[in-house]
Parts: sequence; structure tokens; C-alpha cells
Amino acid sequence: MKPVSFFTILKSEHYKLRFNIAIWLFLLFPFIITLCIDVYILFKHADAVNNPAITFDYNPWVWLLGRYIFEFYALLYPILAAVLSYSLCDVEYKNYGFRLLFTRPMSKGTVYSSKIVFLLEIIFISSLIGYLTFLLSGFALDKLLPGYKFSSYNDNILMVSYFLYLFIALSAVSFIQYSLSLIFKSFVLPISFASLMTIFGIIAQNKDYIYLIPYSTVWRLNYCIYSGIINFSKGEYVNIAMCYSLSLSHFLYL
Amino acid sequence: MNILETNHLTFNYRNHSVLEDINLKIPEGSIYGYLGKNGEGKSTTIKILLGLEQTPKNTVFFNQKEFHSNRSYILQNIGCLVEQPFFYADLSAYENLNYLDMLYHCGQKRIKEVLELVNLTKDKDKKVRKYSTGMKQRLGIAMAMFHNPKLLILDEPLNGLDPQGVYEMRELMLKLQSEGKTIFISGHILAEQEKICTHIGVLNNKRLLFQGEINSLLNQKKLSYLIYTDQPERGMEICKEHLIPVNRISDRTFIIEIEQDGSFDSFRNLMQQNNIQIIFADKCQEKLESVFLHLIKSDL
Repeated sequence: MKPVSFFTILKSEHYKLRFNIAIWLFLLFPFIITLCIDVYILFKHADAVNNPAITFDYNPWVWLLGRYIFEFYALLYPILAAVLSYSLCDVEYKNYGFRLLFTRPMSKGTVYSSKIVFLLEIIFISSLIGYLTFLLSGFALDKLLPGYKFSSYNDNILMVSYFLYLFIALSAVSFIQYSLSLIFKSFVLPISFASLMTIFGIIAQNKDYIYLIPYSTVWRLNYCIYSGIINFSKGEYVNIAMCYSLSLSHFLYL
Repeated sequence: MNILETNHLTFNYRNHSVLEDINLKIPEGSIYGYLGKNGEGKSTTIKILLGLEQTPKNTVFFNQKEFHSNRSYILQNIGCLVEQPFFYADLSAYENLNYLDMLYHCGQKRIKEVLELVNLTKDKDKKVRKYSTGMKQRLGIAMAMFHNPKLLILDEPLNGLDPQGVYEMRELMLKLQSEGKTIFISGHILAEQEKICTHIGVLNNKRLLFQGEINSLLNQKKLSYLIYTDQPERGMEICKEHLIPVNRISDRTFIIEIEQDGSFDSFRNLMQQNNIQIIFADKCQEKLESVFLHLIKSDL
């Protein structure tokens, strides 16, 4: 008799985690942040609302909307990724650990990897929601602040790149956090580590070794947005690949 | 035929011996009580039977199939409740069973059946975290038996249950046995084990001290009879002359211990020959608890 298949386990993960607060928080985070920033912009630039005479001299996608939103992303997304990774493990810890799952006809590798795939799915959907709400809010602000001329700039490729790289950077962070959550089996240690590394990554932005800290990559993406060119250095790619492979190989020893 | 067997099972944990040469034989259709003091290795045995602890090959067999080579097949046929019930507290009982249905594809009909069997149909949509301990335990059993396994392994299923819960669990286990399931229960509430178990295994000092039918275990010790007679002093004297252990209970009653059931007739004849009238004689039923303690003591 065959063990329960990977897709069946993945489907069951979706089912049992469908009301998980951490997942919904992670999914809705870009939407909530974008909405709040839109309100803030409208409040701060109230004079320009429906007034084409007041103009904005820079690219509003980057220097008005992006400037605020992406800073929140850089600071909070890695920590939320840590909370998300922990919550996937926590649902099993509340159920007296992973080991009871292994009394079912499913292999350890399949259970751990299904959670990884689920994690990637959530990060991808969240990034996609972030991208779509960013575009929508830009179009909405274009109508409300006609003088800022959002429609005069086409930064679609830059924004797609940003969210794609955001997905890659967050997936590296969440892989590390998932491994840490499995090792420490507690909320405090993995989340503290994520918070510490995020702050350290921001402080050490100009250091040579910064590419070794995946937590800093989201912050570095902000500078890329301002310069108009988004890419990772070879070191960053190697480091992210290392995070993936180390986390995956770690499951073999659990 | 034995549904589950271990073959010279020995298990060490960090150079510390936990189990030595265990040869479990669990007959199909039985309720097998696995007894032992705390820390003797009952839960470790269960974890080994479920593949949660690593053991050498050819030590655990289910339906004569070796565990490591047939892990998936064997786990499909075993349902378990280890230490704590297996469920997700944020989901309802129905959702928990629906989750299992995704893994086993048993169908909605089976969910209804199982909920009815454990008497949770009324509360199926309530979040499990709002359940009482007894309800959680019953849901744990429901989840263990959802995929219709041949063998149920229950590790101390009566822990934390009130008398009503214990009664319900006992009835449930007897019902499952009548449906042809084999049940392996570990625990130390001996009075309860005595009521439901057909077979017993006693674990002591890392070894299996006794294994077999519960009746044969209860009959291992001498039988006691309460004797009410018109001449208790004379009767006791005769018992002592014939080396029959005897104890005075009250003015006209005493207790004797004899080897087996048949020899009570010889005792009666002995009394009649000496003109002592036995007004009343009652067999004192040996309790599993006293037999268990006797076994453990004699193993020291």
C-alpha cells in the first residue's frame, strides 16, 4: 500500500490551516499597509486632492507611494514571515508535536516539504496581493491627485521585479525561520532572532558582508527601487541558495 | 492468530536499557492490557510499535509482515491514541474527521458513522478546544479508528476521565471488540483493565513478566475461600494439621487458601470426616491488582 501522497498532504494542510490568523495576517498585510499609506498620503497632500494645479516633481510611484510602503515592507515583512513560519509548526505543536502525524502512513520528508510548499504559496500570494494593491492604489491616487501624474510614468517592470525579488528574499527568510521553529519548538527564540537580524540588517546595510544576511535583502530592495535597477549580487544569490539547501537538508535529520 | 508480535525486542535509549527481550503476542480480536509501573517502558513499547522509535529490522511484525518493509501498509491498519488524543483544537470534530478523510478517502458516511459511535454527533460542529476531557478522549478514539484499522493502540486512554467518561470508554472498547477490532491498551488503572481485557501482558524490570489470558493470570495465585462453620477452632486446627494456610476473620468465620478450584471438594470432605459442618463457603475472587502486585513483588 502506498503512503499518502504529497498532494493529498498539501491539500490537507490547506484545509487545516485555512482559518489560521498568522496566514491571513501575512496575506492581508500588504493590503492593509497600502490602504493605510493611501489614507496618509491623501491626508498629507489634502491640498492636491482634485487640484491639478499642485504637481509632484518626481516619480510618484517610487517617491510618494513606494517610499512609504516599501519601508514598512522592509521592516515588517521579514518578521511576519517568521511568524508565518512558526505558525505552520505551531499548529502541530498544539497537537502534541509532529510525531503524532508520523503515526499516519505518511513520510517525514513529505510532511515537512508540504509545509514548505504551502509557505511558498502564501508568500507568493501575499507578494501578488502587494503588487496588485500597489497598482490599484496608484491608479486610485492618480484620479484623486490629478496633478501628481501617476499615469505619466510606466514603472511596471520595476515594480514586477521588486515584488519578484521580494518573494525570493522572503522565501529565504521563511526557510531559515521554518528550520529554527522546528529546532527550538518555541515562539520566542525564532521571532527574536528574526527581529534582531532584521534590525541588524538595516544597521549594517553598508557593510561588505551584508549579502550574507537574507533579512537585510528586503531593505536593500528599497535602495534598488530608488536607483531604478533591481538585481541581486552573485553573493546574494549564492547565499539565498545556501539558505534553501541548508533548510531542506536539515529536514532529513529531523 | 496473532495480529501483532515482537521478536526479541530490545531497546536502548542513550546507552540506557529500556526494554529487554520483549516477545509480545497480541491475538486477533482480543483486548490486550499492557500493564506496568510508571517508567517501565509501556509508552516506549507503543512508540516502537508505531515506528516512532527506531528499532532493528525483524523485531516488530503485524500480521506476520515486518514493520520496516511494510510501514505504510501497517500504519494504514493501525489506529492509535498515544499519550494525548490526536486532533486540531481550533477545528471542530467534524472538521478534524474531514481532515482525516482527505488522507484516507473513507467518505462522509464514515464520518457520520464514527461520530455516532463515539456519541459526538450533537457536538460535531463545536470547536474541539471547548470539549470536555471525556469528549476529547472520545474524539481521539474516533480519529484513531476513522480509517477502520484492524488494531487500535491506546496509551492510557482513561487518564483524566471522570467515572462517567471511564464507563463510556469501557463500553466503547467492548463495542469495538464485538465488531472484530483488536485493542491494545496500556495503563495502570487495573480495576478497569480487569473488566475489559481478555489478555494481559505485565512489564517489569524491562522484561515481560507475564503474558497470556487474564483468567490464567488470575488463577496463578492460590484461591481463597471464606468459610463459615459451627466449629471454627476445630476447623482451623485441622487445616493447620493438613498444612492449609488459614486466617481467622471473626468468631465463626475463617479464610483458607488452596491450590486450585478442584481441591475445595477435598477440603469439604476433610471437614465432613471430622464432623465439622460448613454452613457457608464463598470463593474470594482474586483481583488483578493483587495478582499484579504479587507478580511484581515476586520478581524483585
